[in-house]
Order: sequence, then C-alpha cells, then structure tokens
Amino acid sequence: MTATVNVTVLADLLRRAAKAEILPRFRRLGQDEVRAKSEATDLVTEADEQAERMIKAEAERLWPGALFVGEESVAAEPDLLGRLADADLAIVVDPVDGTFNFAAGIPAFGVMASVISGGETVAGIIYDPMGDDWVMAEKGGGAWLRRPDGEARRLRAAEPVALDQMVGMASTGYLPQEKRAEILGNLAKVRFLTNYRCAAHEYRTLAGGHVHYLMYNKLMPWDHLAGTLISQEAGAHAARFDGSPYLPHHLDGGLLVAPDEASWEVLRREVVTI
Amino acid sequence: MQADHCIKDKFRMTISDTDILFLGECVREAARIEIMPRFRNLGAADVSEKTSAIDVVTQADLLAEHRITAALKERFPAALVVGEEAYDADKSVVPALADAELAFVIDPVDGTFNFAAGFPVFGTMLAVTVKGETVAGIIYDPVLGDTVTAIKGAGAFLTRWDGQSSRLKVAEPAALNQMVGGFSWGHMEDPDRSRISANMAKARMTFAFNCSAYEYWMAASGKMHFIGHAKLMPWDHLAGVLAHQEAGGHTAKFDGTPYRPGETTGGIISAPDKESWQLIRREIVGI
Repeated sequence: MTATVNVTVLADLLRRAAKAEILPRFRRLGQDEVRAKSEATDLVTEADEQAERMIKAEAERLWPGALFVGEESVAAEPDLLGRLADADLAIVVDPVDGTFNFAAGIPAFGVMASVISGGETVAGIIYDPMGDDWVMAEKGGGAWLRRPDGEARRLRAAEPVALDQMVGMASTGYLPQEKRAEILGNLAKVRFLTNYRCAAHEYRTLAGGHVHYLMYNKLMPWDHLAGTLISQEAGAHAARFDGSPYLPHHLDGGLLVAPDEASWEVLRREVVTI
Repeated sequence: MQADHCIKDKFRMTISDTDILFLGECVREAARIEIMPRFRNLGAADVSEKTSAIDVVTQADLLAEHRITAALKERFPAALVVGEEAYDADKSVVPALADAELAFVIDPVDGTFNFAAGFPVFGTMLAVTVKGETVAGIIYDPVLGDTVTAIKGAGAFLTRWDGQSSRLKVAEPAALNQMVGGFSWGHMEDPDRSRISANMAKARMTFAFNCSAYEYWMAASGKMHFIGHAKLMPWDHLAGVLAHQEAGGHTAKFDGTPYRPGETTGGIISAPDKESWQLIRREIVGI
C-alpha cells in the first residue's frame, strides 16, 4: 500500500485534467451540458464530471491505497464523505470550483485537491487553469506559488490591520435569511467587501496577502481543506466559528480565516454574530 | 423619428464607424503591450508579492493611458482626453466633459485591486462623448480577448477574440429574491453602507468583483440583474452605462435623473427596466 502521495505528481495531474477536460469547454458550453442540481445556479458541467473521472482514474492507479473523494463521486455515493474521518490516506478533489463563473464565461474558477492522512490535511493544491499556476502547501513547509517553468515564490498572508481597514470575502448565501442580513450589515464595518464566488481564487488571494479575511458557512471538504491548509501555511489563523480547528470530517460550524488570532477574535465578535 | 435621425447624423459627423474600429484597436493594442505582460509578473523575489503587484499595476495603468492618449491625440487633435492621470494633473477635465465638443474618457486598468491580486477579472474601457452625451463605449477584457462595443442608437455587441459577434441583451425582469446583483458601497458612509449591505440579503445571489468593466458587461449581457455604485468617476461608468442602456436596460442616478458625462455625485443603479430599477431603489438603496 502506498502510504504517501507525491504532491508534485498530484499537482501536475490537476493541470493535465484542466487542459484535457476543462479549458476546452470553457465558454463553449451548450445548453444541454449545464443542468440544475440543488438550485438553478448550482451548475454542474460536463467539464466537472469528465475532469473528476480523469483525476480519479489516475489517482487510483498511482495511489491504490488512497480513498478518493470528489464532489461528483460523493453525489453518486454519499457514504464516501463519512469515510474521510478515519481513512489512513485520502485524496479530496474539486474538479471545477466556481462552476457558476465557469458556466457564465467568467475566467474565475479553479481545480483543487487536498491530501488527508490520519484525519488531518497534510497537503493542499489550488490550480488556476486560466493563469496556469498553482498555490500549494504541505503541512509545515509553507505556502508557495508555483509556475510550470519551475519558478516558486513563498506566500505570506496579510499583516493584521484595524477592522475598518480590512478587505475580505464573505460567503453568506448559505446562512439563514435573517442572519444573512445581519452579517451583511455587520460587514459594512470593514473597508470593502469582495466576493468572487470561487473559493479557489478567494484562498489564493488571501494566501498572497491581498485580502485579510475569508468567511464561509457551508464546509464541503473539497471547497475548503486545501485552501485552509494553504492559508495556515501562509501564516493566517483559521478556525471554525466556535474557535475549534477545522478538520476533514467537518461539514458545518462555519469557517473564519484572518491574519492572526487577535484579528480573528475581532471579526468573530464584530461581524460573525452567530 | 425625425429627431432620432438628426441625432444620429450629428454623431456620425463627429465619430464614424471607422473611428469606432480604430478605438477598439487602440484599446486592444494598449492591453497587449502595456497591460497583459505585467499581469502576474511579479519581478524581484525580495519584494513582497503584494507590494510588487501594486507597483506593477500602477505602471500598467500609467503606460496604457499614455499610449491610448497619444493615439487619440494624433487622430483627433482637438479632442479632450480624460483619464485618471489627466484628472490628477488637472481636475477641471471632468466637469469639462459636460459640454466638450468631442471627448474620450479612458480607464486603462479598471479593477486594479484584482489585477494586483492576480485575479483575472479586470478591463480596459473607453467612452466617447459629444457635447455632454456618451455616443460610444468600449469595454475590453484583456484576459479573454472579448470586446463589448456600444454605439448610441445602434445597440451593444460582444465580439470575441475569434471574431464571433453577438448582440447583448439585459436579463428579463424578476422578483428581487430571484435576482443576481452587486452593490459597491465601499465609498459610502454609514448609515447608508450598512443598510445597503444588509439589504443585499434580499437578492438571490450577490457578486462583488470590484470591477465596473465586468459588472457592466455582466449586467448588459443578462448575467446579473442589477448593479449599483456610489462613486461616479466618469472613466468607471460612461462606457458601461451606454452598453447597459443599448442592451435594453434602465440606468439612472439615485434621484431618478439620467447620469451624464461630467457628473461625479449622486450614486447610480442599473436594472433590467424602469420598474425593476424602482424596486432596487426602494428595497436595496432604501434612501
């Protein structure tokens, strides 16, 4: 049994899948290729399904002992999610993160993967098909921006600033309606709000030090495991709303990422009034 | 009918179809030479990614404005050319748009925050005004190679990098809880900013790209129902507002009056039609 996953090989696999299955379909979607899932805006495309199929097939060949968990695989087999908590080794994949953008022809989407070992995230990779580069991290090794030509640059999260100087992103779509209005109202305390509707790009932006905080309510592992590790390795503080660490088997409880613990506490108190 | 015809002729005398093609080329060339080579190009590794990225976007902005300005001055020597840099040097260029015979308004890199963050959502915009009225607008997306061209009275069109062209049309009106929208309250003061931010919970989905080039393109092509802005610098809005209107949408300042070149205050809302506009004015802006 293979006990580890070579992160460089996995990163390259995401890139190959994007080139083979995702980019050729960007802005060439036919009506039949987009169908509604839980709501009209939650779009799954052929790109999503085909890219996951390719990544899964190769991952299972390269690392036969690893549990493969992808958004599409879980849609077909919901039990997979529960097996993440005690898998010795698992690979979690989001083939196209930012499907709404992808379907709308907006070049803000990404391919993400994380490696889970012994119940914690040990590696995270975010590939940007449009820019052809990765932000990635292995636990304890820092967060890095890498390019296919071998160029690598260490990433550092933003320095802490006062609340009214903070810029960040908050995903409020999955909050209960009355809390949504309250938290959006609270968010007027920050300098300004951005929202890319794509976790891959949001984590990338945070790890590069361009925004201060991220807030999410719904925690599907393929959306947040890679980005959370990358943020932490870039020096940011990430925790669930109750202050506990975010782990691979968590699906709720919210997630708040900030430059440091003190800023995290300020945001938790002033903005995330849940 | 007769009046429409006269207006068209008046504009035609000043700016021809060939001129419009020239303007498109002008914008695309500036993006190719001055903007795209600097995107995600961080230079020296000893400078923090953020600091270096901000220097780079400032350079892209400045050099693209120089290049576009020079090309415009050569072809239209008498025209007023307004960009952020021109405005920094002489604030009177903006009010002068209200009655300039022929003026060009440039935003070389709209969405500088995104550009600096390496987020591929920014645009290059150019508006043409004649005696205080916007007659043409161009929104170019340097990453995708798409150009939105709007000509007063003739519609708004999207031309892709491969030459395919299609006419833009705003979204069909919908109930507020079915709308996709965005509202830039970053330049507003309280209580307006927290009220508007909280009111956005009434929409189905919100976007905040901080890039008016993209927001107007999305609104004009029916991907978003409404957008709102508090700060009205002409380079951020003139081209986009024309594109939105020519795609069938309704845009007006918060007080209901039309937005005109040279104006910088009042806030602005763009919506699919007048009724939706009033709904957004009441339920989201709520002043």
